[in-house]
Amino acid sequence: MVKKLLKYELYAYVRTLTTMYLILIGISILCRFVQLFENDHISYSIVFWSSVIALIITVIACIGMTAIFGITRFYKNLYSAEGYLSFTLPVTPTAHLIAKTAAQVIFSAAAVLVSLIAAAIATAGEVLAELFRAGFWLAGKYFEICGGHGVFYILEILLLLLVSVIYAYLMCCTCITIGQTAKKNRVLMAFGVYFIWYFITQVVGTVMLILIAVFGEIGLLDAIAQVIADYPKAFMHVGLVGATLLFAAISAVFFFVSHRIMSRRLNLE
Amino acid sequence: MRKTYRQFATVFALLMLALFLVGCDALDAMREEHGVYAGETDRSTVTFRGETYRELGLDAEKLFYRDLSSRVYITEPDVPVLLASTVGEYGQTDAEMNFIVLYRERNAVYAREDIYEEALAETKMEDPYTCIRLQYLDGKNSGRGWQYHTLSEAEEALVRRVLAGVPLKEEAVDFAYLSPSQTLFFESETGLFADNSYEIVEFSGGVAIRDCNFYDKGDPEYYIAGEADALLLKELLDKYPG
Repeated sequence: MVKKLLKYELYAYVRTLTTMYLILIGISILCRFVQLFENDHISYSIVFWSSVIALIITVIACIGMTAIFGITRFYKNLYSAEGYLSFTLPVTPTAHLIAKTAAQVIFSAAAVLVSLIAAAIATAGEVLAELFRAGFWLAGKYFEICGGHGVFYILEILLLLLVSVIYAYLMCCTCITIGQTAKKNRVLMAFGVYFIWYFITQVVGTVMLILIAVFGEIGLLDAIAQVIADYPKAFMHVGLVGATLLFAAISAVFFFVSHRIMSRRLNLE
Repeated sequence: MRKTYRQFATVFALLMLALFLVGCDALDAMREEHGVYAGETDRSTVTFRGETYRELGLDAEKLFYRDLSSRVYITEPDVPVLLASTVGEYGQTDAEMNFIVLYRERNAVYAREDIYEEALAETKMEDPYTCIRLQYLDGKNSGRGWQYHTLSEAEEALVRRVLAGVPLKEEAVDFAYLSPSQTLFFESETGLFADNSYEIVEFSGGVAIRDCNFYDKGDPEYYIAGEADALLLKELLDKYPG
């Protein structure tokens, strides 16, 4: 059932975001076209840099729209009038959450991919070839320094990025889910929940900084720094895997909270 | 519909391929500043703009060049041009591209292959300064655009004759009036060695050539020109104002 849900989620994303992606590709083609008239005149500089700025803004808009669409679709599909239809389907809240999260992750990756394609079009030709040369050279240097650990670092970073996207999406969904338990001003309540969560993370961050300062005073920081200096590669693995597990754990909490509310305290308008 | 998409995709792909035939001025400009060592560990020669440069074994910090203006980034052979300015060693060349001078990450001087032997011979000379140029501003005296006049044989003989005299210290010369000076550049034939510590100055007592080489001598020294030579130097100053 999750597959069917996912299919319709993906259709919805395609319907809405395809236009944005086509606009992005169109602007990248325009940017490349402008470069065919390269010369030293100031008018060329103005037009060229304007096209580059337009491209950058469009990339940001594309990625931003993907995130915003995912969140607004979650709200509309489950907690507005559409929710009456969604929750009559023979699927569990778990299936809903998984399908929506998976669709958001897929299209976040798609937005990044389209942005990279746009960048490749905008630099097509000698510049793109040189960019690839530079990329391969840097990759060679990276593996020269990191050795076999390099592959694992890349996998760990990709996993961390994936879990970060899931964390960010589930955080917004949980804020919306908690917000809809209110009798009125549900969206405002969702923002309130978000700010409370933000406040909590800031307090935790400050406490961590105080602890680090205390560790510094008692000399523990020097010992930790020595361990890092002695085992830098292992420390990198610990850091990446630790961050991934932390985000995964918090995401699991968000998932559980959303699931609980959707199962027991659904309060549609 | 599928056929239209396929046709569109084919045209698009061909257009993208065609773009590889079009150059990029910005990349060309970067290539103009990119030099390459002979090998990963071989720093004896550099290839720059199609020319080979060989290391002279000189201390770059002890040399002065009239117009080191163009920059060059020298890298190992496999470094891409986009990364040359980031990972390369920074150097400068003179206007004629005779030499590449490195004085940041490394201290080295490279001479172009065709003048290498001549430059190497100059490093062994006691007095390699075989040419004198007078620096002056352009006719509008705008403060920009330094020009150089290469002294003729007679003018060079005049300068060397005045410098053959006994120098006086600053306190021995009357400075009631001192004109703006014109700098004399003593240079070797290839331009490898240059010395701009001499200036022609007019003062109330006549005309002198000032040796401003403070580091060795403490205070500047003045070589006072005789009456006849002073008139000739004054003519030179009037013709090429500072």
